[in-house]
Amino acid sequence: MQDIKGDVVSRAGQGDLKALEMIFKAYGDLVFNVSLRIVNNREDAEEVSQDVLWIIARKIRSFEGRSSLKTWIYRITINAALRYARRNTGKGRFVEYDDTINGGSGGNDVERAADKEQAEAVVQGLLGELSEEQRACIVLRSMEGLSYEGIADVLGIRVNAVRSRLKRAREKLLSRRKEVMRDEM
Amino acid sequence: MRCEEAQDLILTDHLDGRLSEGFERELRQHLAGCERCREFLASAKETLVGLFEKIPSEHLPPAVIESVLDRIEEERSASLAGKLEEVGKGMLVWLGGFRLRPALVFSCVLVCLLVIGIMSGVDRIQAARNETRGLYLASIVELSANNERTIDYGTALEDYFLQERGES
Ligand SMILES: [Zn+2]
Repeated sequence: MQDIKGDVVSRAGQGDLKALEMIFKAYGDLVFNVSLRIVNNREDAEEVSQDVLWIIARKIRSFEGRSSLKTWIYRITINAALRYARRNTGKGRFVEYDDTINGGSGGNDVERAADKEQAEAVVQGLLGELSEEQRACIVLRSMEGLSYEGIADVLGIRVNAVRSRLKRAREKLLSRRKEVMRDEM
Repeated sequence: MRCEEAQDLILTDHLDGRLSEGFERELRQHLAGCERCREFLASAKETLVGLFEKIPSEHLPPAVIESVLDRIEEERSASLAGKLEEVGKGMLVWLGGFRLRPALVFSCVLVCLLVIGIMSGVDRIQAARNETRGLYLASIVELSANNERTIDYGTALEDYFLQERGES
């Protein structure tokens, strides 16, 4: 990831498109990955990413640097992706976890999971079991590698709340995975 | 340490590598004597760490960035054209009201010239300070500052005027 300096941010705030493009290029993948894991569909994730970049362009002027630019962008992305996921819950974008496991060509679950694509399907299926708040926590921690403090900053909650959300989310993930593996045997 | 406590720590601070040394030692002691928690740890690692580590990082298609930049440029020129139209209409109404008073018409033309001069790259802030140019100019500067979409239309305005002159 490119390192974005303060002057790039202030130039972008003054309407410099080149500076804005630098920010987009530096953080575009982050925006896309987080969106993708929350809305669980490439096309939708592209739409969310587009919205996020648009919001960044409009708000960068009011970015005051109280948090880091990265935290600020994570926050915008999480909010936009969750809003999108909520609006589209009726569409059933998330495949049932059972389907992701049983829809394959047979064979042992763990073996198949060794394959990256399969792991991806399993993880996406599992994430679909979580509440939106839990999903956001897991994505930020297990995929983006943020610290508890970083997650607290992004979500505007206390570190203890991060910890308890992660705990509940992981309990759910574990028990769901156990259920499915038991059904398979 | 009870099993419940051990599993709680495993699911959070232990998996995330932020358990204090003291608790880590206690947890290890508990695990040494508790098969159930050892199994719990193994499956937690497999499901909550191993699986997630296999997920590849994706790249945002460059077309998404391009489309947003294009849209910003479009919006800027659209809002610029709208603004000029408004200012133009306002001027006409004003001029119409004072048609018979040459002194006011003259001052109005003067203001127009000043506005054009300022918008086409003269130092705006310096101009706003100039007392004869007064509040009207200050309000224009403020107007542009309050317009969220239009961040900077210095060069675009020049283009607009050049284009207008070229056509007429
Ligand atoms: Zn135990």
